[in-house]
Amino acid sequence: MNDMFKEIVKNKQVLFGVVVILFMFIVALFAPVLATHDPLELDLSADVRLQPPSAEHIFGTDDMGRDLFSRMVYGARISLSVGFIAVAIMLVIGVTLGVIAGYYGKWVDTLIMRLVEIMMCFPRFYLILMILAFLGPSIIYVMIVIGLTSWTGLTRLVRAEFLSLREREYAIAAKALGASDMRIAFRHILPNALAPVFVSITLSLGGAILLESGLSFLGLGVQIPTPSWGNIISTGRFYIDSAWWLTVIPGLSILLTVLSFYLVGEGLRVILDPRMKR
Amino acid sequence: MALLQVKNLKTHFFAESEVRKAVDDVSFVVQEGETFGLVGESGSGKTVTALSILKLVDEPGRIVGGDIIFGGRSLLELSKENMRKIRGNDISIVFQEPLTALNPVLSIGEQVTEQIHAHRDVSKEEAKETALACLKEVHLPQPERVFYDYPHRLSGGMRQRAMIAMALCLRPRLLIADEPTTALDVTIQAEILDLFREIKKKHNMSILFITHDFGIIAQLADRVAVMQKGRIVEQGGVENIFYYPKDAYTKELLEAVPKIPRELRIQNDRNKKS
Repeated sequence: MNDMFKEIVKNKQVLFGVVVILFMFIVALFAPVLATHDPLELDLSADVRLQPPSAEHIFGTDDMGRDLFSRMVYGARISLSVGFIAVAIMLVIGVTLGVIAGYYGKWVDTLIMRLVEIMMCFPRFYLILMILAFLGPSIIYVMIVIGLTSWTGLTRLVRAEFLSLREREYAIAAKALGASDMRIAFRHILPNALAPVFVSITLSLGGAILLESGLSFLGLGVQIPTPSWGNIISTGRFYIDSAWWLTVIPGLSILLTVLSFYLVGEGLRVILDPRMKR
Repeated sequence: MALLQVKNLKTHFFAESEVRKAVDDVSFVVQEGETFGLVGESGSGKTVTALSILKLVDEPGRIVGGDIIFGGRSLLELSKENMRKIRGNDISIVFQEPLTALNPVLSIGEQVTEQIHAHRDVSKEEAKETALACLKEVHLPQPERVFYDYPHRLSGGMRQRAMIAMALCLRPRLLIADEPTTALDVTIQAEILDLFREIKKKHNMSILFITHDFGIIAQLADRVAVMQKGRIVEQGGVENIFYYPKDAYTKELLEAVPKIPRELRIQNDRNKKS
């Protein structure tokens, strides 16, 4: 663990990513403390609406006179929690199915892999759009739907790891000493397959946040007035020629956060590569 | 009394068009408290015999005939779950290469306690206590430290001791040792053999010792069977086989041992002194 910490500090892109992600985390966690205004408070008077960044409103105000900084801070909360919950759902489904398919093999594997292929046939974004169009937009649905549609890659990854790991001698030794299938799969083999899973988690977090922003931009995700980075851009796009801060600031935040997750994911891929170990 | 009876065991592997008879009509008996040696060259079917006893032969292999009777029960008739309860509990196995047989991401302690939890309904503390006692029993230095160590931090001999601790901690009645010293150098090999001898005496356990090294058999086993191409060509008391081999293949194997163990040991001692 200590070695890994050193590797992270040595690897500049991972360090950058980790710092940005930690920063966003802290912002999301302490949103009520950091916010200078009530993110939902409207003020339609002309001297408050669409004001550029100033001392009073660090990031300016939007078309309803709300403080953009406070909305961004609360938006971080929404965006990050959507990402994490969606990825948690993905993790549970993806890992479980991958373990079952890879460990048992034979017809179980065939069945699960065909299911994965069927899921992968649907263009994911449009599948999500369709489901949300039926269910109606809501943060909860966004989390669940993103989670339910993103597990296929992880399942294939875990299955592939298991196919090779279950033939290792320690797996056979565990069986020879009377460990049950569940013990062998989850206690003996799964810990050996975690490196690619970690990489997948970080990459998926970035993907989920991006997806949530996209959905909110289209009006199918987080609903106004609840702030989310996506829907702030969505309303800001009408004023892109007069009030640049309404699109540029949330846009840059999304870019920075998603990029950081990808950088960490890519970096972890290198750090955790078993061929570079010891 | 017979603890394990292998009767006309046939384990065949079904390749695309041909049948490979890895174990073909093998019969032997391991008595209670006895060390039984199984000798033969690579590919003679020793390991497949061991795996068959534990019912661990995987596709495309299959036990096609014969019977395996352990403690009066036929293992071939047991359900999957009952067989699992026998493995590691009544019949244990130690493999050849301890580095690959130990899980690289679990500490030694985790692996030994896992083994205990798989068979006994005990608390974490009890499992740890039992595990530490096992590590002590196989003479691992500083068992409290080894408990938290990972396999790659131990030497080959220590790893094999840890494997033996795992295999022994539930006091099996039969221990199958599949070339447990082949991957170790000669001095460590002697230590591990001493350990087997000591443990066997202490718990009056039976050992099925598989090796290609007649020297080891001479030191350790009471009786021995010689395997070639899936069949037992000769079996009997160690001294008998050693001094009066009847089968041509047994003679060849014996000639392949550089010197008989006693002379070898004297020579070793001389080497050490000079």
